[in-house]
Amino acid sequence: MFAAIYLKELASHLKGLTFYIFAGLLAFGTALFLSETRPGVTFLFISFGREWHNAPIIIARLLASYTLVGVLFTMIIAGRAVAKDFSARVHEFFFTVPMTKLQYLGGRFAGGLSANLLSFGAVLLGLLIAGLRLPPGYYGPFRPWSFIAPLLVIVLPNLILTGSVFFALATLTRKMVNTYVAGVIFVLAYVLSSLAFTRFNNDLLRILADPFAISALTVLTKYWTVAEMNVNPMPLDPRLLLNRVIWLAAAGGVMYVTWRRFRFVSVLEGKRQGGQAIEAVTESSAVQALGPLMPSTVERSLSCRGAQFLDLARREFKRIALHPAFIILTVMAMGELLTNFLANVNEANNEVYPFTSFFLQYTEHIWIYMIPITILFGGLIVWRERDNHSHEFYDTMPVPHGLSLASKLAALLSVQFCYVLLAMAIGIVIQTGTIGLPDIEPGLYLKGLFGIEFMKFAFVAVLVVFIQNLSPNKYVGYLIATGWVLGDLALYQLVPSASPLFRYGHIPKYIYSNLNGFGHYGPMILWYTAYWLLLAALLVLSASLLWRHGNETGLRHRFRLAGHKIRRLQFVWLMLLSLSFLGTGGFIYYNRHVLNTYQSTDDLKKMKAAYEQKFGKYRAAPQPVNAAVSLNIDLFPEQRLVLLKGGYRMVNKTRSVIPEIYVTLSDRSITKINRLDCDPPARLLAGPEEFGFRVFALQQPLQPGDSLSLEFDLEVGAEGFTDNNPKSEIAANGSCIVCSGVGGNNEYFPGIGFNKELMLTDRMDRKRYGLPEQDPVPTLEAADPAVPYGSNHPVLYDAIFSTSGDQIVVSNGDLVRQWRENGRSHFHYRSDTSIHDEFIFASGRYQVTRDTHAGVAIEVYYDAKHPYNVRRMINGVKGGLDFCNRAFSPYPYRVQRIVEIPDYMEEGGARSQPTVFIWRESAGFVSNLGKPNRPDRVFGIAAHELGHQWWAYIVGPAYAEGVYQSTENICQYVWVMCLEKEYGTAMSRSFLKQEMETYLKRRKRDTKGERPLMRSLEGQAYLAYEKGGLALYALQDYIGPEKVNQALGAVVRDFGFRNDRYVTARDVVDALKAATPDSLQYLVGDLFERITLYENQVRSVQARRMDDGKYQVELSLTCKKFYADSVGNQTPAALNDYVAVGVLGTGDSLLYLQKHRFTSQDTTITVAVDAKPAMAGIDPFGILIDRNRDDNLAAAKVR
Amino acid sequence: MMLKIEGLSKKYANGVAALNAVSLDIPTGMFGLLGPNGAGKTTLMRTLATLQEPDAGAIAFGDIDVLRDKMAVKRVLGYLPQSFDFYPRESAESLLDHFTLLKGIGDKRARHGKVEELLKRVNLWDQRKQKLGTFSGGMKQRFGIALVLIGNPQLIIVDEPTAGLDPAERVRFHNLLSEIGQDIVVILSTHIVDDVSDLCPNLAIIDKGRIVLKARTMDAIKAMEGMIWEKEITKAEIPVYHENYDLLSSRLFAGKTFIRVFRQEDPGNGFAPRPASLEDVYFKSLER
Repeated sequence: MFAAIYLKELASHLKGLTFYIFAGLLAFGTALFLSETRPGVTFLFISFGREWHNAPIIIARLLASYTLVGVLFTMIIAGRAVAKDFSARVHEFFFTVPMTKLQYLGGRFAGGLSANLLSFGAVLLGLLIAGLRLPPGYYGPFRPWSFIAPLLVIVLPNLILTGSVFFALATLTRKMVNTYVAGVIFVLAYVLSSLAFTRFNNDLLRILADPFAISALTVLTKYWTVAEMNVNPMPLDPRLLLNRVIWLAAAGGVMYVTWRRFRFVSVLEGKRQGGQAIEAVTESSAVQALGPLMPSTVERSLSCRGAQFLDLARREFKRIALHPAFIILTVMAMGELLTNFLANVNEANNEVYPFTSFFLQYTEHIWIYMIPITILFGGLIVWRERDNHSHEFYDTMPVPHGLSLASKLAALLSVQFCYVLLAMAIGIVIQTGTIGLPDIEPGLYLKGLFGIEFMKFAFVAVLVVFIQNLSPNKYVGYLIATGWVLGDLALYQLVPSASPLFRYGHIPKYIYSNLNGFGHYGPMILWYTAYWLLLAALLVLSASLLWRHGNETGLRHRFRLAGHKIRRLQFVWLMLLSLSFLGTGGFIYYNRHVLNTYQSTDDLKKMKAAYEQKFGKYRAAPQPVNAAVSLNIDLFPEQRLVLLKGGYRMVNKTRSVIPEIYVTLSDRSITKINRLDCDPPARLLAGPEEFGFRVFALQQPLQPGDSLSLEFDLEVGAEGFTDNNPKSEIAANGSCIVCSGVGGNNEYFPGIGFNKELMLTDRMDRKRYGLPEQDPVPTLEAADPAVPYGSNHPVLYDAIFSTSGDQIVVSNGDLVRQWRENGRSHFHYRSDTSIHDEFIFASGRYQVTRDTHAGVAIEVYYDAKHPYNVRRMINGVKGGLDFCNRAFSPYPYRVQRIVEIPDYMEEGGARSQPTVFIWRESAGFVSNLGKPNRPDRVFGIAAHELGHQWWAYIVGPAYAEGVYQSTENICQYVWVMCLEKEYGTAMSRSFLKQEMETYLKRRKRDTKGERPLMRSLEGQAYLAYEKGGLALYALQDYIGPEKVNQALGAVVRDFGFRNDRYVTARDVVDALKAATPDSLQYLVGDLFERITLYENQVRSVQARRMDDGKYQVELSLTCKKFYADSVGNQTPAALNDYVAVGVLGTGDSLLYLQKHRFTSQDTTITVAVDAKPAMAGIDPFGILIDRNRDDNLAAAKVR
Repeated sequence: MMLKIEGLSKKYANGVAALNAVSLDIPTGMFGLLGPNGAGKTTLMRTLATLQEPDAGAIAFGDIDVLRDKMAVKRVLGYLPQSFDFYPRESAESLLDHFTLLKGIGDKRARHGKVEELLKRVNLWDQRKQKLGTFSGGMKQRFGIALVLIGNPQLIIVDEPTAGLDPAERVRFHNLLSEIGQDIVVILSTHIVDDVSDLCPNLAIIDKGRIVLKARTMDAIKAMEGMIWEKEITKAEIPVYHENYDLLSSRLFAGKTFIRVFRQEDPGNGFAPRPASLEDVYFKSLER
């Protein structure tokens, strides 16, 4: 009997379309994703580094994620297994067949499960297709176990678990709809809990708590290298197996309850029968006179219409609000919003104050829930009367169609409104609970949440109602609405440049800045809102004309009827709305494409390719270099207009005669060029072409040593609005324009020579546009130390600025004069010490805090709302000055300024320039550092950026690999050393622990392949920052900070302020080697020249109390050292290493810490300490890179 | 006020002609529309209730053009659909209040009075707080009548109202309908002959989209008086009788088969005369 039921069930699924659709999707998704060769593409939270695309762990993670998204399929299969009998009302036939509950339920469940499992076979097909599509090098050999292991250990238990829940719900409640709700909850609960759990540092908890074992796979392989991912099978770790046992047991429990509670009965006992209304049976059935009805008047008044509308809307609203699915979804959405917001506000690396503006960035979490809610309930309310079979009553009531449509829409919008209100309440609660935040900004909530987010929801509500009104039934309506959401997402993924005018209800992304408010995004948001509002109004009007009524609901019929009944006024409205909609669209188009140049990423790449193809020949042509910049700049922030006048004095420092000057001046940003010429004047030979490339033929070729000027008079104005290149540098408050050297990549200033930074760097891009492979960055051995990395020339700087009366301009050099004229503020900046050929200017309504330290004026320019960390910034600069002045050389300028810039600027967190650095508002100004024991990142960043005054500017890097060795690495070292001095070793250790974690996680994601520190390449941030600081800190731990500082100071002495010779990583490492004793020379090599990892472990710690009260501690230690290649293949290295051995007493007091020489893997060391030991081990503070630092210390067993 | 239907035709997409040039004048009072399942009754009722559009024809109710001015019809219309249900979690009182408002009784006090009056009339006042999901079929039907009676309708259309009701409920329902009043138009569409003979002074019989008989109920029966004969036979004999007589109906009574035939003179052969009934009229009409 069981077999018969099982086979019948299995066959029924294999005959159905759903099975093949799901299997098809699995094959298609797998094939498409695995054959993806573009870097950084993420699918189901998985993305590739350099590992094989069919690496066992990738297959395992993919399968695990499929069981999560496959919940939709599982719920149909498992839910339908029994519920189909009830919905088809054939259950009574089945229940009268002689079989046991176990046979019936078991057969059905097992049949569905088998079909579900079978569908995963399609993944194999996907693997095969991807293998055929991929170029060689992306795929490793296929091992059957890499598919079978996750299928058995991950997929099968997951399907049993989710299947049992859906099966139980459908079986016990006999309704499919419950499984749909459960399915949604399942997925959401998962997302929610995974978000919550990522915040826990407890790995075991993260592994066990995830019913899908997705996080288990992530946690267990977080430090895996590329090589390990390629070869290692899915780890059958006991913790993973424990997870499986726990969740299978849960599934077993659910199935047992299902079996116990299931009854072969036709109708469920319960409310329906028990609650049947009892009527008096004594009532006579004889005819009795009742008399005529009381007269009543049927009104048509407006007030009656109003009452009808309210009553209809109120009832609909109540029905949604009390719906269990709605309550559950709302609770979850708000829970997620709360968790997320708290998690982001309390992020370990950057805890921030919960500003209202910050809150607005997390509204996408409500969006994720609002979409399904709107789709689900939009369908329910449109079809409500029909689903209740009372539509014929409603349709014969004297109520206009527009009124019922309006009431339904109003109910849906009210639900969304309440939703947004709840979100706001959560924000306010968090804000109220945060000490030190001055302002809740209700007005910003109103604009951001109700003016923007709510409108977006409302657009969706209108669309859903419109779709449901036209659709032949609710389910087709759901399908279309869901299809629209997915289609829109897919469109965005596939064609990121797709015009937002074609994405219904889409308002381009904006970033609210506390400095500049909505700023230039304001008009864009308003116009797009108007545009979609008009379309929504059109949809509403059409929906009311096409409203489903009566018993003939075919579309053709409704259109014909609409044609009959449309009144003149409605027609006029229809036309008016259509015209305004098109007009608004046209206006947006005009702003986006006519006033502004619209350029997609591909267009830009194409232009860059053409630039290189045409002018690449000038790459090596000798050009003069900049010696002096003089500027006269007028800013009109309110009009978003900047007048740039000025000139470069350029010197021919080459040995050849220069006949032509090449100028690049991007005309996509410059509104008007009044003058661009050389002095003495030159003839424009060619151009402007791509990126405004121009060739000037000099009347008199420039002899070596001679100079000439390039003069310019430019206007930069931001016109209208656009979502693409909106010139956000020019703002009403917080303008900031950066000139990264006249040879660098500048939006607003002319550049000299062929601009190498406009060359395409991505290998695939270069191939696509027919460009040859780029010359690699020279190796250390091949580098020419006379060539700087980027442009690097000392330049005299003289700039006069004017801006609005209430604003301050901040720039490089000394402020020599400041005055007011015609109500405008003027500033004259000049540097008599040559500054680096980079400059910056910012204008805003700034607060200023000043301080002086070691003869240097420290100034912080910030927004009045952000006073929190100004003191820490100043302290960071002070700490940095103290450290760097002593360690390297005296600070060469009289001032160091810090300027806050708006969040939408794409300048990273902070960026240093001579005498000034800019800092984005949320990257430091709003960090909440009130809690103890959190590494003070603001202080650290300030010290780091100050370090760049030496390590980027005073000492310029040469064009070669390892550029970070003489820049970011040393600045990180400054950071950690200053942090330690200011706050003590506890804080520097907790900071280094975070850094180690980040380094170990990021290295496998590196598509360039990991390199030794001294050969790092641009883009390898985890080497530049995390590993750089770790390595130099480790070195000073071994040889002492004085030695390291002396070595670095020597480099500054040798290379500082030179423009004939630039520093390479080799120079830095050689200086460090020179400062290191012979016995530790290996260490410098291990840290900088090789990728080195240790596996240090303490096996046991035995302690014995001696007669003199001291303790003898015997440590059994393991020390292993490996050298790794670029993908993490490890080779054991011979040991002759010094590693610290430490003994800690109670309360973490340090009883013993000494470096011991290890020559073999296993060593036993005995030391004597004065007090009772608590913990002991090898490298106790995790100075060396080690993937498992948890086993470095062990509790001492005291006898 | 009189309801005038002229040349109403309706053909569905599947080719079924549900109404074929139907013309009817319906006076005030109860009017029975009798016909077998699928005869076009519901199509006609829904068309009268503004829920459907005919392909051709015209309907006038007093001076209202029913097909054009639907809002005006709805204001004077009470329609009880053939099958319906209600939002199960709503109470009788609350939902009736809702519909009363929708009908256009905006004043709150008037509305409450109306709700009370109607619930008392349909004998659901004691159950007014109960959820509609717990109502029995007969109670729901009576609740439906309450909805129909909101706002003193001039035109009431009830479509197959007694199907599925037990005899006691049917009596109660008839009682309610008979009270509605003689000076408005009440159309009772049914396939149950007794409903019409109990209630309707006028009737029409519809078959395959055509009106096959229009008459006063009494006249129709009187016209057949003396022409109805009955005989007990065996089941196997039915085909023989069918061939030789104008067989109107056969029924079982206490396990025996009785047939009724139409013949102007005494057919002999063991037939006994019987008084004519509306059922005989109905079956006789359908033969044509």
